[in-house]
Amino acid sequence: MAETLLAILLVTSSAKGPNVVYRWPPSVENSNPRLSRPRPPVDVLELDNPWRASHYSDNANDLAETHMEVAVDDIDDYAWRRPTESRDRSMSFSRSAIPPSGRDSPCNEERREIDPVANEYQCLFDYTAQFLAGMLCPQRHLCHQKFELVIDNLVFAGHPVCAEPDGMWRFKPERYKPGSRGRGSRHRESNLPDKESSEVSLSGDTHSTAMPKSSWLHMFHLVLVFDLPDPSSSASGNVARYFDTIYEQIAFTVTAVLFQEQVLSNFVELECDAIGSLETEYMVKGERFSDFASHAQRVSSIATAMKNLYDAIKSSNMAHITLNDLPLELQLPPYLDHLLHSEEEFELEFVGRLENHTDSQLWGRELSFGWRLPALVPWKSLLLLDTDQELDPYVNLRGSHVHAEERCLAEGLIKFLETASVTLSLADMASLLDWDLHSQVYPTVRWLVHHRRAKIVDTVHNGLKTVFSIAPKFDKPLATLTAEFKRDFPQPSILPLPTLMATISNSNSKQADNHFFATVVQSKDLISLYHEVVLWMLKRDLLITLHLHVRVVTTAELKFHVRQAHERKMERRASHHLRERRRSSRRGDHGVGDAHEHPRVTMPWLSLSPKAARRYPRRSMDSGQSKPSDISGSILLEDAEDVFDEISEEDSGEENVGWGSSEDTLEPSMISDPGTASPLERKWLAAMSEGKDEYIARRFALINQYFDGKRTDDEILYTAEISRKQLREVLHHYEEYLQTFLHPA
Amino acid sequence: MPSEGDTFLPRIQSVFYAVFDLQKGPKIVYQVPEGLITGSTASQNSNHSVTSSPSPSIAAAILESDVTPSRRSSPSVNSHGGRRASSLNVPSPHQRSSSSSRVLFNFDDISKYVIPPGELCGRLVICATRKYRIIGFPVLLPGNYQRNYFQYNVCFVFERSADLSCYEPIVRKVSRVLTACEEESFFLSCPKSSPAMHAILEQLYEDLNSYSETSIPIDAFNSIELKIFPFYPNPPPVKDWQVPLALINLSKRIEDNWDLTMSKVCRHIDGVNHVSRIAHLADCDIELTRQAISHLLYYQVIMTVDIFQYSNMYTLRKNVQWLADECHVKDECGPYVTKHAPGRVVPDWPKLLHLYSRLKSGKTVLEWMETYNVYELGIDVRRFTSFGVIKGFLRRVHRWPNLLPVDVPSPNRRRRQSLSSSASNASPTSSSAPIGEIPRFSGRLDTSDVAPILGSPINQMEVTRAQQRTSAAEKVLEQLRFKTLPRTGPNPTMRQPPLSPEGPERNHERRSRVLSDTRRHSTYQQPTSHVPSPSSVAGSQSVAHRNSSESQNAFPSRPRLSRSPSTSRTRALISQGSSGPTNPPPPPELLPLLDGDHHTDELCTRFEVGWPQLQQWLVAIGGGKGDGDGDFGRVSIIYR
Repeated sequence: MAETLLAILLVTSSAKGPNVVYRWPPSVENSNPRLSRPRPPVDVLELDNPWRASHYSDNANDLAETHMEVAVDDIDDYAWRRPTESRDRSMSFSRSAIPPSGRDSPCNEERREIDPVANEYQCLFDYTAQFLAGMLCPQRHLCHQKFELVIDNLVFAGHPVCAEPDGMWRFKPERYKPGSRGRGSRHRESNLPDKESSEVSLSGDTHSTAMPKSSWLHMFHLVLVFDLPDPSSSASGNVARYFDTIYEQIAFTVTAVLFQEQVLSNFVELECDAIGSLETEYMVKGERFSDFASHAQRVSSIATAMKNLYDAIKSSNMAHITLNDLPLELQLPPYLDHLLHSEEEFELEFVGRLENHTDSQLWGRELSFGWRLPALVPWKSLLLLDTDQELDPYVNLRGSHVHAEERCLAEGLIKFLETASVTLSLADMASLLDWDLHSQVYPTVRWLVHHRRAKIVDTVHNGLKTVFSIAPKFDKPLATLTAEFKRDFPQPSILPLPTLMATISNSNSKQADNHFFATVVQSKDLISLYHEVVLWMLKRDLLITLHLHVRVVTTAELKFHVRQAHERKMERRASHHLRERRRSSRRGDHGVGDAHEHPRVTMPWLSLSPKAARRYPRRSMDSGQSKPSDISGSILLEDAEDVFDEISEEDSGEENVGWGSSEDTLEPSMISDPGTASPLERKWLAAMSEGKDEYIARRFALINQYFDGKRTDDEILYTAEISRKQLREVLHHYEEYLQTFLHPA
Repeated sequence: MPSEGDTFLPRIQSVFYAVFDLQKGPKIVYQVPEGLITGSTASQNSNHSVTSSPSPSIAAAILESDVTPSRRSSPSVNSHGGRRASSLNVPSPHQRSSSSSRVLFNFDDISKYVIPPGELCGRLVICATRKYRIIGFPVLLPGNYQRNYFQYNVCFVFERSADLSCYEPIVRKVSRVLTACEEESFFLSCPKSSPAMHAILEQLYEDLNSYSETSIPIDAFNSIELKIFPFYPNPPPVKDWQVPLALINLSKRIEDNWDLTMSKVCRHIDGVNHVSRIAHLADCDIELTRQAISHLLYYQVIMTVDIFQYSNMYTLRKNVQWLADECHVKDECGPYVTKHAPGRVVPDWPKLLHLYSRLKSGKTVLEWMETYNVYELGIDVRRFTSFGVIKGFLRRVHRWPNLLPVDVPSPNRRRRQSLSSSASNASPTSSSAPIGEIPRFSGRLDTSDVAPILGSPINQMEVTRAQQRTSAAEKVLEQLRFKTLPRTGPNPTMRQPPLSPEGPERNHERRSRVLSDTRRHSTYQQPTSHVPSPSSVAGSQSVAHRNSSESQNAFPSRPRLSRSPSTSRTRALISQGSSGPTNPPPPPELLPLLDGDHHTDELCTRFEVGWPQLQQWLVAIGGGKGDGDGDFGRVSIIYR
């Protein structure tokens, strides 16, 4: 929804001058003037706050009142006033400078001044309609591009289009692609080859079509008028982004269709004629403007479309409009208006990560901005929303107008819709329907989501053994929701909504049996009934599914154990090598003997082989920060030993293990990403499996890569292709080393 | 406050001055830099501007203003010199215009928005070409002119994508000053002085782009003084129950010329006090305090967190999955949340993270502490939770009470409810504090409820001891303790004496504090010297106290003075030994607020009570048993 939208105007320009042909709504409520500088709040204005603070008393109100009278005068001078309020009539002489557009304004100046009915036709946002029309018909140079005009706090945005200088309406290939959606504009600007190809195809079109001649229309401009949002209510740049989105999604798209129809069938001009003559008729009869505006709905599809568009935008629904029998579906991203308000805390959940997440690319550009969609991933499910009967996909698909060749496709879709369920993940759906996930399931899902007929939710357990929590914020007051819930679920076995929510939210404190079935349903007979309840709540975003996340912790004991094992091995090996070396005496005497006798002191720097020497600085770079001095000695030592060891035994598997690096401490730590674990971390992971059953150890080795705290249980089950029970088994056996988290995904 | 260098200000591409010419209609008279805006008239004008030498006074003025302010070095130092030259030598603008051969747009395209019909004059107009946005403030001055009016506009050109909100006041002001000059001395319309406009435009262009401020003397009386202020979004409205937390060292920034309320309020921002309590501590009006906090929020030097109470509940946010790996989280956490005591080992991050993961909705911090022995680890729980909230991976879960309609009437409960309320009505409210708790108050209140004051180890030890004792408590005690948990019973203004060595003295202090609190409700004024400085009382009044003057006035039945801790305590001890716990009746205003849209922090602040009292009220209203097992009867509490 665009809460700032004030009106939609259709402005035309002809030889007789500019004119506002139609507007909706008929009467526009005037927005309040805004100040550009702060104004002290009148009601709490205190001129002498220090005095007031030091003489605080209960009768402060009396004081405030006495101050008020003085204050009002001051403010009168301080406040910036709109010109209309102070401007005297004589100042509007320049109105005569505008060429009078005879066509639709037969009444003259004097009559407008006195006649309130004519005034209704002529006044718009404190201006005369004629004057505004003049401002909204830009020079030819500024046509066929985004138009934006801000006058104080009114924003006029649109995309004016005009006929060729010879008066003919023709496609302008470099700017226009008929029927293209809003995103086309950006696409084309950046893409030269595309531009040319569209030119070719268009010129083909133009020649093949017999062009109806237009007689008077030079330019038309569908203008959206907004109340400029207070820029201080949102972060810098958001307001521009907001208007850009509306322009792309609405203004450009509708204009593109109108332009195409004007070129092909002189549609806009004919419609304007119809509306214009109706307006004249009503004005002559002295009927109210609102009557004319509603009557015009019957004579012109543009008028109807403008009304529907306005209503849909205001009610944040999809607009279904028809222009010259061309059906058109338009909508704005559901979270668009949030751009205009400072982020509240709970909304921060949506900021950040998803933006550059690869998953968001799956949604495509249209659905990426202002939709706040969860990632489109195979382990999520589709929740079909209730839709109007007339727009029910079933009706459309089963309708008689479906061609025979599409019949099979339609049946597939029907089957898809029938299969879709919150208990079924998209991957399962794909295999059930034998559809390809990426090329068939996802596009269908995207379409359904884009047309607000479905949304992506977390898969719900068949037996409702899913852990839910309550959303931090509701769209509607709880009382309303409770009433709706009561209406939809009158069964006595179902708790009232507040109690239900209280139970759900209280259940999280438990470590076990915190899922929906255990806390709420409690009886198998009620599962199907509560299934509906869950659906009802999911549709209203009342429930948040909590997911299990797992992280791997390396305990101090484990690290100590691993290090000990390593040291034992080193010692064994070192003594072994020393014996060998002494026998062959390939090397000099220095250091080697010492190393054996004082293995903690000697640093055989000189014995570095070229390869080891190369590796050495690299590793110390890897380790990053230097360690406190008291450990560094042993670190170097160990490393030296390590190097020493590798000199003779390259393939021992001990290479590149970060012994002695900064991560080799005995402090408990987390393995942040076991999938890309360092060699040392791999040693720890391996050590965790010591003494475990082999099949469990193997499974742990397989799935520990998902224990990074970011993957949900659903994702792990899907990716690792294991059952929940198997996962539970691993979690149980490795309890000591695994931390579980329950939070929204 | 952040310097303006932190924010991005759009760069002025061009400044031009246009008038309505008697012969040619709208035309650009001067533009800086030259030649960027084309049009049949413009080319002539640029010639004109070059030949006409700006008036000497202006040139001198520019030189002066250049010298005076010490400005940081910026890329335009060069152009600075160039500009000086330009105002002295004629050819310099030419040079620049030739170097930048690009043309922004054609003036004819936008001339009707620059010199518009009268309706648009006196309004801020922004129009756009394909790549640029032009902001101007067309002015039409009626007067003794050839056409009975003079029309001009000073416009600034920016990139199309620029956010112009910070330039709107600039454009208005330039217009205002020039209009004044024109009205006083025909500065613009007189051919003698109008060439000065070129120098003015140049200085606007250079100074605003380079320094974001300028000072241009025009004549003896008028000058253009401009400063572009960085743009911050307005903060969300401040609520009384929010706790401001300084992000910078505020006390170092306080200056003598600061607003008095602000400097008073700043002293009490310590991450523990909530807004209405700050208002009390600072002895400021609640609305002014809100505004001061809001102001600090605007400059992003504070943030707000929730009130810390041991009855709070928290839960992980999804951000934890990323934040748990961030160095700034895992490395900072341990040192920040641990109490600094010699020989104390800072818990490692896996341990801390585990503790975080066990904070859940439905489980109070106290229960969590007991379950996981948080106490032994030397963790300062207040810092522990606020760390998570600040970093953004922890979220406070509020209680949202909701009163169900009576469809299943339970006469038993109802009767009990009415009885209890009538009983407490009969007794003077002042002495009807939850009596059973009173002896316990001394030990627990301060300690178990409120955030340990950082840096005061005694207090923290207090907490420790109290906690240990409570952790051993059994069911009955549990319930009683629960009542005493956050804040005192009916009247939070009264802080109960803490079990502290310096008892008597503290008592005295407290009494005078209470008096100082009550003073705002009577005309009596306590000599300030008797009011202990907030920091000195901080320890003793760590009970979060939530007052707002309005709602206090709404409860005249609870006289303030009689609630001085010593009196209530002694009275309680004398009179209450035998009788069971009684409650003050729930205020009738509470009922309509139990619609599930007001959380308990809000209700507590509104009615100036602590959660234990509110809890009792809710039990009374709902007719539940309230045995610490969360039975509120008809009141269901949603945690979200």
